Amino acid sequence: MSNGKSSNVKPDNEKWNKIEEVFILTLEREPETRDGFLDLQCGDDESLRFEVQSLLEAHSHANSFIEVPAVAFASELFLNELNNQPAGEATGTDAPSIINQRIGNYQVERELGHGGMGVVYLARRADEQYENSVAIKVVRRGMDTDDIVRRFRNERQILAGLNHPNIARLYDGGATADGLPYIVMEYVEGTPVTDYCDRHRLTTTERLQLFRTIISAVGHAHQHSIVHRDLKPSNILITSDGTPKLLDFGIAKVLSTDAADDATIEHTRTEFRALTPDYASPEQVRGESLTTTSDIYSLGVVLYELLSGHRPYRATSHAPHELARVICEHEPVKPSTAVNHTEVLTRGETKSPTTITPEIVSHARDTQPDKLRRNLSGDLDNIVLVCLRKESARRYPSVEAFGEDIRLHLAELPIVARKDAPVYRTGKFIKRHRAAIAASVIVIAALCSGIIATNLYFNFNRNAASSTAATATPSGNVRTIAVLPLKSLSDAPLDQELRVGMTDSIVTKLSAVKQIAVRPTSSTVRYLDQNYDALAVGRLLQVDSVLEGSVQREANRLKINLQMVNIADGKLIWAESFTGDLSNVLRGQESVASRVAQMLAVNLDTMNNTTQSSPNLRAQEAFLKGNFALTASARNIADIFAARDFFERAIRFDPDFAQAYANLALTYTLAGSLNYLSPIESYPKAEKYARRALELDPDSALAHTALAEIESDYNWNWGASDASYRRALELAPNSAVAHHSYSEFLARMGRFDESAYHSDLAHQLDPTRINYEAVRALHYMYEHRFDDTIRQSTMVAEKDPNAYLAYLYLSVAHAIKGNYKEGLKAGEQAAAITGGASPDLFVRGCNYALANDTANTDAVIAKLQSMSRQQYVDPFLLVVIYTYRGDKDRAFQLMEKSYAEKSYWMSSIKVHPVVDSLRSDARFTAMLQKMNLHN
Amino acid sequence: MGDDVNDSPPPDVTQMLIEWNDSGNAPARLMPLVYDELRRLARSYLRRERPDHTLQPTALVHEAYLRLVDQSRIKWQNRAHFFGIAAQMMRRILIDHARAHASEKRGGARQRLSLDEAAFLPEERAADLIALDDALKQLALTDKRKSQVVELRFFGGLSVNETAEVLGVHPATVDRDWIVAKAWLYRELGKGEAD
Repeated sequence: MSNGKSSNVKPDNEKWNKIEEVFILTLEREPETRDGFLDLQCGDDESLRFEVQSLLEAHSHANSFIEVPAVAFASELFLNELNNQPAGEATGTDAPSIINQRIGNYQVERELGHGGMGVVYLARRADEQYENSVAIKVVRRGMDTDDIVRRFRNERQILAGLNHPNIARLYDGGATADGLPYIVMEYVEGTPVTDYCDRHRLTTTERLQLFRTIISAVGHAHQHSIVHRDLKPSNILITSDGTPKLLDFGIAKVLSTDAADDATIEHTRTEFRALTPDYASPEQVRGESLTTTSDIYSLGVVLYELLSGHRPYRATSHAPHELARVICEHEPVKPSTAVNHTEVLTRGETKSPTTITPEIVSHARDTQPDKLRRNLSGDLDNIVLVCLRKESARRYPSVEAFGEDIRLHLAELPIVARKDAPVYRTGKFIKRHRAAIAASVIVIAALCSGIIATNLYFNFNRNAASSTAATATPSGNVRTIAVLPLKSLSDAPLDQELRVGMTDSIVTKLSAVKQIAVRPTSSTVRYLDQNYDALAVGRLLQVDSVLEGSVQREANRLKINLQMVNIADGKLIWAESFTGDLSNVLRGQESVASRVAQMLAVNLDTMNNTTQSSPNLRAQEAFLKGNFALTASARNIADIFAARDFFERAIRFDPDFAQAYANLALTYTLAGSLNYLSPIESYPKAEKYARRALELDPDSALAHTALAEIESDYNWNWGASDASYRRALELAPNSAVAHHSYSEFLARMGRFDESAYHSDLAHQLDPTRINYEAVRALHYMYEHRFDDTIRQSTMVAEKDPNAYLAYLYLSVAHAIKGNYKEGLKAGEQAAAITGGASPDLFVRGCNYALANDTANTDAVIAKLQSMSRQQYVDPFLLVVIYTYRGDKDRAFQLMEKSYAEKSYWMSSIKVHPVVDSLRSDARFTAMLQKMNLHN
Repeated sequence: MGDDVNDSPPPDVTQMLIEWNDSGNAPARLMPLVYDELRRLARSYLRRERPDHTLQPTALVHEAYLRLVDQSRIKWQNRAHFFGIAAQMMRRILIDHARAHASEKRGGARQRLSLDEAAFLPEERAADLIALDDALKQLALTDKRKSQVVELRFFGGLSVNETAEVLGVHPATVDRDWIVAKAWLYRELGKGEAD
């Protein structure tokens, strides 16, 4: 490859800096103003202008270029090298030698074809003459035999359960004498679906009917939790009698890295290289884990091609990053538009280039270009484009829903799929141009932020719900919900877009809840501002329940009322109203959507467990209120006690309510760790409740988390704590609370990398918890990364000016760095939130002491001492202040006191910078030893 | 097949990192150690010797770090140094392999394979990587830090924040460098004129 240098002259530094500066400045402008801006910047400096313009040009094309890390990009090179065999034989399975040989019980007859994974042979059972032919896929060298065979054994039971007339059976698998893995499958003689349809000149309707059969076969596999991962025409064969047969179900998984479905090097390599990229979903291209909606995507590409004769994407080059870019970033044109194109494609078995024209395409569909275009535009365009959405959550939720829409279309009934609502485009716009935030988006943010639940009504009819669950959800515990667009009740009505955006954010949040299958917004958006009967809509959408609501705007206040109705009996399951202040528009992280999702998750969780002795109604209500208070608790001490009271009440109503005990335990550990209660008051209670929760439910991840906190914060039993965390995460790998808490433990142990990993996960799992982000700043402090502490806590404080903890960390970090002025300011901001509590007094004390301001330091000490007569004040706070004041003896005395009183701070002395100047002292080493924190 | 997994305890990379911090110079023995470990890890993952692993494509460097370095003994600055070296070594490994691959292809005139994924043949990737490496060397002459940003992110698989940590700059600087470097490299590789 030549480098095709466009500039051989290397610019000197000064010139280069100028080029870079102008390039960046130009990029920041709107495209249409760039030319004028360049004129201004470059004047008559032609070469500057040329350089900048060529960079801009390159930038506009470069999108995904080098965004995929080299390791994933080039793992093929490793693989060839590691096999120590010539690269050209990468597919070599010693092809000639295997013909007429036996593989297992089969006699190999001839090669049927080969591809990235290996070679497929036609074979016959050697011991039974009448047995049908089989196809044997022999995996090429370079794939690990043991692993594939092991995985095959794991998958075998599941794959063998796939008994469907339209799915090719999987018979057997093993390793050849040469140690190559093989898989024996039903031999299907047929034609790829695209070729078949063209050859038989099937009309659009006939194609759709055939496609519905294919969809229902995929649905069968999905019900068995098997994702195909490699759906493409060559895996969808049509036999001579017109029966579709799907090949290779689950094979991609067996041949991929691991059953856990993690995105790994090998996984990526396999998917990326061996799977036909034209049909791969964006998540597949990115090497992320795949779900049933990835199959829906691939089916969408196949349908696109069946209907229009074209593929949705045309990469400008075959380089992997180029393809990845196109799949991940380009919006496909509508199928009805694609039929107008003339293009040269290589496809089918021959791989020879063919020219596709509107005439050829419509001829193969037994129609004319105009008619075909009309036929596709509207419903069919929408159906296909819903499948092809980049975000998997916004595709059809299931192949059944996909098939249903095709059925509705064929029956000439209104379909569910709709064009992307304008808000989605708004979303993309924000992503691309973060600087420019449209006014409408600000109002969306208003709806989603700073909203506080005021009144809660909860009418949970257990019997009704469980009978519904039994009838309406045959496939297990998943409840289906449709969220209807919010109605506008105010005199100044809210824009439709905003309400759809609001609805959509609730849908998105709910999608993340395990036990809920939520219908995509596209299925409900047509009810926007329509007069509808919620029950009828619910039945039409085949859901268990419908969530509907209204938004009211009064001056700068918003009020949102939501209610959930059970479709089977029309009863109200849940209702709640939220109010929020418009003036708080861009602040705060807690969105109403996540509140709703959280409340519903708790609710539905309970609904699904109704067979067990379930807490009664009043216990439920108290529990929900407690949960809410706990979420808000980091801001306000009153909330912690409110949470405690609610959970205690829940337990009084229902003494066997495991979740309430677990949450009560966590409330007490939180109260202890934040100094709201003394450790001796809080942790033993926490332990009592955590143990009780585990008696009632040994698999309660939250109870294990609480126990882990008690072991580390109070018992200082590090090994036991670690084990409990691991147990919790094993039980609930997606528990944000558990990941967050574990990251805190790991940071105190000095295991910063692991800590960061879990902290990132917690944040990803629950981005609404501002405290998770705040505590990250503390971890940076533990790691002695003070600039990062300041950066992180500043960021948190900008997001949420009430984030108390962020100011504390900010203040201490500034003190350590010698920025006493900023440090004191942060301390005052913290004090403004609490109205003056020991921690914010303490951080100001640190600043005074380090600044050698003895008078103020002593005043803080005196104040803390007098405070401690009325409430709990952690003695460790004075350890730090005396340390900074230079009084080591007093510091060590108080450290002994902290040790005796089980101060929470003691568990962090291994890493905490505030005691750094004590570390060289033998008394400190002794303390570390006493606490089992020495290495 | 050559070198297999070596179970002898790894030499004290941690100590080397600490000394490096003190002396200001990278110890000569460090690079080959990191090179070997990365190579060994990559091979072991590609062979799937560890079915339970959860390695991300970007995680090789991190994995090597966790294996070679005792976290409790070092400071985050040491880790930054390690990541810097590791990214450099990843680049070297990949380019070595790409070159070996490319020369092999030239040596034996093999028949072209008619595979589905013909467009994804390794030789194209090899050529792409080598060209990128060359262009990156050019970039280093003009703007060293930008070439380092690409090395750390593309070859090392590091995040923006980690890259910022290694280079001792603000993450926003890394973002900006990345945009400029990407455009520059794309232009140099002549991709802008493709199709």
